Order: sequence, then C-alpha cells, then structure tokens
Amino acid sequence: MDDSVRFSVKEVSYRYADNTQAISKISLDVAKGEFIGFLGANGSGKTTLLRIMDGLLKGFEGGVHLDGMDITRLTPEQIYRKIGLVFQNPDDQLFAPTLFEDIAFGPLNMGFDIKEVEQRVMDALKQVDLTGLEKKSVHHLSFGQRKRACIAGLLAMGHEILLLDEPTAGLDPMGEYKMMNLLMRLNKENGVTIVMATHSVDLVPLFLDRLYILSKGRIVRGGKPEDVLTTPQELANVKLRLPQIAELIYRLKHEDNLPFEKIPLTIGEARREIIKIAAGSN
Amino acid sequence: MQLFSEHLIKDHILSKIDARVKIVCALVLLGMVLSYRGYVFPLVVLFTSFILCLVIKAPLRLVLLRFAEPLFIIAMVILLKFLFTGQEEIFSINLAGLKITGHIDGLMEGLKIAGRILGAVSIITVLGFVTPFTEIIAGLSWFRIPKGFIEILMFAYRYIFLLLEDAFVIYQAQKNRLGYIDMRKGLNSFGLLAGTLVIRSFDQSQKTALAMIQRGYTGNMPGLKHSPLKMGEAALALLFIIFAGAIWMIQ
Amino acid sequence: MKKIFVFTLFVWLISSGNAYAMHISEGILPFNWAVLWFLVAAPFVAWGLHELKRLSAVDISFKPLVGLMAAVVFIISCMPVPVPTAGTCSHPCGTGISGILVGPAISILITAVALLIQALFLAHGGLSTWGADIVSMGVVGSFAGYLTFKGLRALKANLWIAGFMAGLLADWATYTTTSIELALGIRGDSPFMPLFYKILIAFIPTQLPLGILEGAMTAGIVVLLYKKRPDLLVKMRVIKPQQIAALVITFLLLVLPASYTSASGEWGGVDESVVEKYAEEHGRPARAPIVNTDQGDLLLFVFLLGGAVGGFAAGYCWRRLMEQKPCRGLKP
Repeated sequence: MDDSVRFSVKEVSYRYADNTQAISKISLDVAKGEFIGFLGANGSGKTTLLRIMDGLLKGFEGGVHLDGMDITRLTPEQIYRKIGLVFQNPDDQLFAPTLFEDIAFGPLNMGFDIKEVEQRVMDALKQVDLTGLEKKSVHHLSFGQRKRACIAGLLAMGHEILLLDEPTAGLDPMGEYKMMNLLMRLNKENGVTIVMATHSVDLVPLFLDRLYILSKGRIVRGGKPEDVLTTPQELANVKLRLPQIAELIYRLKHEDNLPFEKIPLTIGEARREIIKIAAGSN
Repeated sequence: MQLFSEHLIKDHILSKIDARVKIVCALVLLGMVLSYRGYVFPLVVLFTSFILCLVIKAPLRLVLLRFAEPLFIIAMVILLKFLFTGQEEIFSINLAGLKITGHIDGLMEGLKIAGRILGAVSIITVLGFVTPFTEIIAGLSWFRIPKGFIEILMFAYRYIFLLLEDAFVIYQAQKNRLGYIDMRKGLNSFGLLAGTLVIRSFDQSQKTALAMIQRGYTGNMPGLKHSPLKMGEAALALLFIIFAGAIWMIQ
Repeated sequence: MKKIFVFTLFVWLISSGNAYAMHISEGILPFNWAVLWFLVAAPFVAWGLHELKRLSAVDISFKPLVGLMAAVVFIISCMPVPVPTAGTCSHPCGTGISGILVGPAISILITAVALLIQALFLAHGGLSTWGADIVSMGVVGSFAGYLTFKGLRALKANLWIAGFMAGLLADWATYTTTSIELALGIRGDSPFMPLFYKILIAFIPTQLPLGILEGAMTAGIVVLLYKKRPDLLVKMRVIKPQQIAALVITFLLLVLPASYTSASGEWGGVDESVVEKYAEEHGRPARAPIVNTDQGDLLLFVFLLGGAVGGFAAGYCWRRLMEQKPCRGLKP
C-alpha cells in the first residue's frame, strides 16, 4: 500500500434500512495532504460516503482502508485519534454547556492531563479565531461561530484527517470565505488532509486539489477542477452548474464567438483571459 | 435568549466569587430561614437581598417577576391560616347562615410563613442572578452529586434553548394556520407541538450521541478538574455564616 | 421578534400569579418537613440513577436521550395552558407523558432535573421544596401516569383513552399529594384533616379542569408518536414489574406512618387528653368552637359545594373541548 495514500475506498455500496440505495460502487483514493471535494446535489450520497469514511456507518459493501488498515477492523479509538467528521448542522455536534468544555471533550477523552488539554483548547480556539469566547454558552454563539467551534473541537484532538459535511452551508459570503481560508491554512500550513462535501460550485475551484462529482450515489467524474467542470449541460444533468464566471465565459465563447482559449473557473483567471482578448482585439 | 438572566452576569464583585462558595452560603442561609421560628431573620435576609440586587443593578422588573408567584401563594396561605386555623378570634361575620371567623393567632402564623417564603425566595433569586448556570452545574459536581445526574442536567440545559426555538417556530406556523382559534383546536395543536418536540429531541439525542462517539465518548463524560478553593473566599464564607447564625439566634 | 415572543411568554406565565402550577413555592415548608421529603425522595432518585446506569451501559446514546427528554419535559411544563374557568393560565405537569415515555424510574430523574432548573431560574417551586416536589410530581405523578397507561392498555383500552386517563390521573394524583404536603407543612398546631380538605377544595376549581387538559395533551402526544414514530415508544421504555412493586411498597411504608402520626390530631391527641383535661379540672373548660366544621354535615356541605363547583368547571371545560363549533370568521 502506497505510503502516501491515506484513504482507499474500493467499490463501496451502502443501502439504508428503508432500502434506499445511498451509494453504489464508489471507488476513490485520498493522498496525504490533499484537499479533496465531493460535489453533488442534495441526496447524491455525499453525507453517507463521509460517514462511512469516518467509521460511523458500518454494514457497507466494499472496502475502506485508512492508512492501509481495514476500517471495519479498527476500534473506535484507533479511528478517532486520526480522523474526525464535522457535521452539517453544528447543533448536532456541540453538546456541552460552555465552549471550553465542548472543545475539551475530545482531548480529555484521549487522556491528556488538564494542562495539556487547556493548551490544546486555547490553540484550537486561536486557529479558528474564537479566542476569548471560551466561557460563553454554546447557544450564545452565532451560526458561523458554532460552525467554527465544531472544527475547533476536532482540531484540539490533533486530527490529521478532517472530513467536513457542507462546511459553508448557511454562512454569509464573508463567513464562507473565512471558512475556506481556515481550511486552506490547515491544509497548506498544518498538512491536514481534508475531504469536504459541498454543493458550492463557485468556491470549489479556488481551493480544491481534486474533486469528485457525485450523482445518485455514483461518481460521475473525478479529477482536477478544470478537468471536471467543463460543460454546463453535463453539470446540469447532475443538478449542478458551472461556476458563474465560467458560465459567463462559456456563453461568450460559444454563443457570442469571442476567442477565449480556455474556460476559466475563477475570477482571477477570467480577468487574465479577458485582458488577453481585449489586448488581442486592439 | 434571556431566559436565564445570564445577561446580568456582569463583572461585579459577586460574580467573581467561586460558585461553590455561593452555593454553600445560599443553602446554609436557606436552612436558617426555614428553621427560624420568629419574624425577624427572614425579613433581614429579604432586605439584604434587595440591597444586593440594587448593588448588582439587577433589573427591578425581573426581580419583581421572581416574586410574583410566591406573592400570590403568600396571599393564599395568609387567608387560609387567618380564616381556618387558630383559636383566638378577632372577628366573625355571618354570611348567609355560615359563620366566618378570623383568628389572630392564625394570622400571625400566616405572616410568619409569609416572611419565611419571602426570605427563601430572595436567597434563590440572588443566587440565580450572580451565578451562571454552567458554574452551578460545575459546582454541583464538586459536591459529589452523582455523575449521572450532572450529565443529564448538562444535556438538558444545553438543549433547552434549541428546543425552545423549535417550539416557537412550530407555534408560529400553527398559529398562522389558525391552529389556536378555539379551545379544542388549540389543545390539539398543543398536543401536536409537544409531540413534535419529543420526536425532535429523540432524533437530536441520537445525532448528539454519534457526534460524541466520534470524539471518544464511551458512556461517561470525562471529568474536568476543579480549580482549588481559595482560602480567602472560604474564610469569608465562614465569617458570613457565623454572622448570619448570630442574627439567627435572636429568636 | 422571536426573543421578544419567548421572553413575553415567560414574563406572562411567571407574572400570572395565578399560575396554578403544582410546584410548592420556596419557603412554604418548614425545615423539618423539607428535610423529610428529601429523605422520602432520595431512594426513588437513587433508583432512577441506578436504572440510568444500567440502561446506558447497554445503549451508549441513552444518557443524551434522557437529557433531551428532560429538556422537553421542562419546556412542556413551562407552557401556558389557558384554564377556561379561571380565565388564567397554568402549566401541565408533564409527568404523565414522561412516565409513559421513559418509565417511572427515569421519569423521576427527569422531573428532578427539570424541577432544579425551574427552581433556580424561574422561581417555580424551590430548592428547599425540591424533595417535596420530586415526591409529588416525580414519584407520584410518574407512577400514576405509567401505571394507568399500562393498566388500561393491558385491558385493551383505546390508545387515546389510555393516554388521556394517564395524564388526568397523574395530574390529580400530584395535586392530591401536593395538598397533603402543604397541609402537613403549614398546619402548625391545627389538626391535619380539616386543613387538608380545605386546601383540596381551594384548588378544585382549577385542578379538575386542568387534569382534563393535561389528559387531552398527553393523549395527543401518545397518539402522534404512535402514528409517526412508533419506534420511539419501543426504544424508550424498560421497566420490570417487580421493581415497581418494591418501590410502591417502600413509598407507602415511608409516607403513611409519617402522615398518620401527624394527622393524629384527629385521634384526640395531647390537646384533648391532657390540656383540656387539666383545664377542666381547674375550672376553665374549653369553649365550643364557633364554626364547628368537624361535625358531620357542615364539612360535607362545603365539600359538596366545592365538588359541585369543580364538577361544573370540569363539565364546562369538557364541553368546550368536545363540541365541534363551526369555524367562524372566515366567511367571505
């Protein structure tokens, strides 16, 4: 098993108790230090896949290996020292009366002594920009703060792999940006491997290394954002769309026949392409 | 959500005192008020509590609200004791063939009970204003209250606010669809509301459990170590109790 | 807007001083009685904790579940329910439904938690009366609700009826116990029974209809759960009959002698056999009381009056509930 592969998911299928087939024969690999995304509409199986990868759902068909070991043979403790899942709804995850107690929960369970726990909690709070709020009751925090608090709870445990279920859902534009920048920092500076489920098409190309498109429980496409997000029709078939800037350039190219070389996915790229065209027409 | 008057916990002198000290003082004082046989002590306590509320700038309205229900009960008790218990009558009226008698000793006893109630309620009111509930929970665990109880208390407190918001949303939705226009429909809607809350909390508990499991929960909450009791505060508490005890002796 | 609403809700239900919740207010019970009720409540709470430990060892999600149920019961018991006869609001006990959902042991625990939070922050009930309230609402209420429900279902009663009777009897049993506790606590030297009757009567006009309201609410919840989520009804309840029997017997053994001896005013206690005897011997016999309610018809008459008022109130409430009135106000 390749040392750099952290997750290996092979031909995994899962069916819920009420017989809905959530995912069918999904295979993918996640390398160390990568920032991966699952892009898909609601009901495409993203949450189920994440839960299986987190060891919360058992009884699936196929194989899931974490660092080369079969996840079904690992004890909960072995799994949860390495990997953590941030749920979509922060209230599902924050259960202690104060912020400090909630973030301390993980490290305490891991057996650190109280001084170490305090240090970890403070560090985690600093990383998610929530310093000073330790004594606050959880329900006094804003939605965005609660989302970040969930991440802090896992950071304090020192996880090397973070799974996130729609981390930007429900956040205002500034909040979205802050969240994605936080994840980028964790990925690039701390080397945390991140797998995130989202349907936020505009954000994805800015931050992700690789991306898988899910639809009805299957992987439709996988690869780098520029290889995957190509044509509007294809994406519309799986209830997604191109990033807005890409859609604009696509239409300018194919309907108005402007000579764009490639379809940019971000505003920065689009700017360069437009300047090229503008310069070319002079 | 200002239900628990936590917004009042500004940084005044009383909020800095260890919660455990405050709880012990409150309980001792409460015991004294309840075992007192005269009139003076509870009223002294009541007076002091009011002063304290003024000092910490507790909103007067909130303070009076805490007393609203007890005041009603006091009225009932005084009436009951005045008219129906006691031996020395002070007056008696003939009302449609029935004799209604007022007894002075009954009245005095009723007043004693009233003082007791007022004193006791004032202690708890002040305690509630100067100690955040989370600290009370932490304090209780230091007093060796069984862990299971503390855990339940903790979960309950955390999720009350969430459920209150849900209740509000459901209530509004029902009201918008004429759910409360008459008694029968209102009760029906109310049953639906309560039932939906029960379902919601069950599902929430399952999700919470899942989230806890993935952070290492194995069935027992990990214990947070308590900071040591400051000797100065403990000494102050002792002095306070002795002082109160001295006043209590004046029966 | 939301904050204003919820705050108003609580201002309303707290300031309606006629909020006839069944909590005993802080300070009513003198020291000895307060302590006694704590002692009575203690074994039951211990039982609840024991069951919690046992059941959570099997199911790791049990403790969060109980915590959340406690939150629900707290909220239900804070909701204002208008009482048609009194024109004011009161609160359901919530113990009937919690007894049905999680069984008496856990229900006692839940009640204890909800009561503590209410005492500290809503001035409902009190810390000194925590023990007494646990006994009346937690122990008696939960058992009454649970046993009624189980009993009626065993007799193949309709689900709604079983739920209704459970809620009704839980409420009324709690109210009776509270009256006993109050009478014992505030009687001073007066005899127990007359005061007990008077307290009972004083609360009848509000408690009779309230029982019906609580019954209807309980029935509604049970039926809803049965329709939408029957798995919940199965998951939450685990109790052995032998345990219940043991506890009911313990309760009776603890409480009956206690109230028996203090109700001994009825038995010609020291007042008559000693004090009056000596007073007579010294030429100062006891006067006959001016309103002698202890003899026969007068007390019965007052009781009849109270019962009639309560009965009418209950009947009126029932009619308001059961009559299908045409929907007014939506005519085009």
